[in-house]
Amino acid sequence: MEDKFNCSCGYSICIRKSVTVSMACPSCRTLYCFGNNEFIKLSTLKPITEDVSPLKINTEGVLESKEFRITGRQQIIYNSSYRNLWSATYKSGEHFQIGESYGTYTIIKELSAQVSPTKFRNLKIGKEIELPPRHFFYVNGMHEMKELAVEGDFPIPIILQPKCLSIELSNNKFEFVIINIFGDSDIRISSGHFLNFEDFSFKNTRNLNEWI
Amino acid sequence: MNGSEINSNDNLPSAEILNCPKCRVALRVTGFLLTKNIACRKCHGIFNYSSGNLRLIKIFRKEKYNHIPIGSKGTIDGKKYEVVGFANYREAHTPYAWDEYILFSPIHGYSFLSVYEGHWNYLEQIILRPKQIVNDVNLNGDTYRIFNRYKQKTDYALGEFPWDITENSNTITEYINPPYIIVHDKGTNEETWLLGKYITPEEIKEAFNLQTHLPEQTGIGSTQLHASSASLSKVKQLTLYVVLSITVLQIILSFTAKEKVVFKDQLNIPANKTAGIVSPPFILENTLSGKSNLQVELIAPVHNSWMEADITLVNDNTGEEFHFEQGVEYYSGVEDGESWSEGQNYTDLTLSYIPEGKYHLNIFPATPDEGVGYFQLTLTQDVSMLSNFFIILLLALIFPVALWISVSSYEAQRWMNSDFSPYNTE
Repeated sequence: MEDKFNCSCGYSICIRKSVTVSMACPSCRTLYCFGNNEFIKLSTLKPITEDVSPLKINTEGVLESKEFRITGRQQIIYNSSYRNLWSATYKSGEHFQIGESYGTYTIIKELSAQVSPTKFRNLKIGKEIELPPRHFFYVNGMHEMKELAVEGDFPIPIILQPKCLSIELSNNKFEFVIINIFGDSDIRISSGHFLNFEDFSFKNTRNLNEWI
Repeated sequence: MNGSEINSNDNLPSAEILNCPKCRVALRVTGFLLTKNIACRKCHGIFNYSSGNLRLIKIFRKEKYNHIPIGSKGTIDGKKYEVVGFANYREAHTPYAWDEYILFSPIHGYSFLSVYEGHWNYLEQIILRPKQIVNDVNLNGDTYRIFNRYKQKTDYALGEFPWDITENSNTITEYINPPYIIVHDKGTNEETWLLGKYITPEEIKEAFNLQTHLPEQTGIGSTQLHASSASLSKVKQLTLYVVLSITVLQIILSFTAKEKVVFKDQLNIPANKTAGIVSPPFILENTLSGKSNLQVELIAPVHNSWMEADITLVNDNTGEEFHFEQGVEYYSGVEDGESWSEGQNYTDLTLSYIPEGKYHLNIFPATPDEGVGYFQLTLTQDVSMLSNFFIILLLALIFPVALWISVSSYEAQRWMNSDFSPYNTE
């Protein structure tokens, strides 16, 4: 079910009716979020920077025999690294994210966090922490977000905060957690697990003939 | 589902070409956002790369030769890579230096080829975090022993790097389980675990289709395998089975040995020295194999004297003869207030593979003039023989022990380069 939305720049954007919550105009890069039965202009973002990712909007794949398609990307640039969060939707409408960074791939779902950010403020690299339910993780990355670029559309709201501390944790069970602390109090925890590129059975990727 | 109108670039980009701000030589950028530093071949300057801009960080004073050219493409472990960077590192405050090649794939990210004294390792980032066990780590059930811990210093760089190559504050720890190595790179904001594997120069040349000579190998690489070390564990296992089998067989033979005394007599030594003794006949009974061993015990009351006998065992049915000699001697005394003795009045020997049948003995005893007057001879059929067990055991252990010594010596040499050596390398 598609619909049209006219950006303030005049560009007509295709959106997924009753699904799209956030979207970025491909022409002027204005980010919109759906609220009060209309799309509200949030901000104008920087363009996506070339990161030689093999993925793109409309890349399709199969996970656990379920077909999915990528509809959006958040390109998060930290002080010394980056991460792509590809927004993907199964045919059933179920949404998830694919984390991609330097050739590592994760599937990620956001958890409902009832945790105080203070618990995570004084973490150090290599420290072991417990996250419910009885999952132990090690801190292997702590990055201050520098920039956020967005393309495509999303069934989730995109959080724009000038300050974000991103803490990456992993363990020896291929599990993965990102704790994003926005500002002083807003905390978002996402968890998932690592997969290999081949596990996604991607198709309609960027042209990878030279690399396969 | 067709909700997006974004027209992503379908093709991966070609390398971006920039001019070195210092010497104007063309610099290639293949990683774009991923690239943090670029080093120039001509002026040896290293630049911070951000949003298409280059800012000089430092200039390296010495140049190092890279055996694999930047831009070379090759396949390792089925993954296609392009060589995008080359660095020469040194362990801080030491003369130990090594080279590292940075490999890039849009699919698999960055991997590394490290070479020290001609020994190569291919390293990839791992997502499964090894378990720390005191000083060592465990990955997938295999223990990797700590080999080295250091901070590194970059002496030279060429090409592009996804991190600040001049920032050398991270602590690097290497753990080995040849041919594998785990490298833990821990910094203030990030830690990385790499899993590496020993790779031969021939494999490197084949992977990148190189015609040039690679550095000569010296010493033993930290992850280089002894030619037979892979089979050592199998040999250990096989040896265990063999030793167990031999032991079980010996126990069975000991329990089933008849140990039957077929002849026992006290015999007088004839006064005529040339006269012999013919024993009464006796029977060696049938055994499973038709043949059995025969233990011959000789006891003589010798004191400061000796006695020996030339004995022939004669098969009365076939006439077959088995000839052997036995002798005993015993001396004792007191010298300078110390008592001493040597020899004994007992001896035995075992004859092997004696067929069943009726036998007698022809005995020609000899003693000195004031010799003993008699001796006792006992023949026992089918005795348990521990000596055979130990000989077979020894033979079974020769190869595994030799292999173990060879591998241990090799390991000791490997660990000579480590501050964490389990061997005494003073």
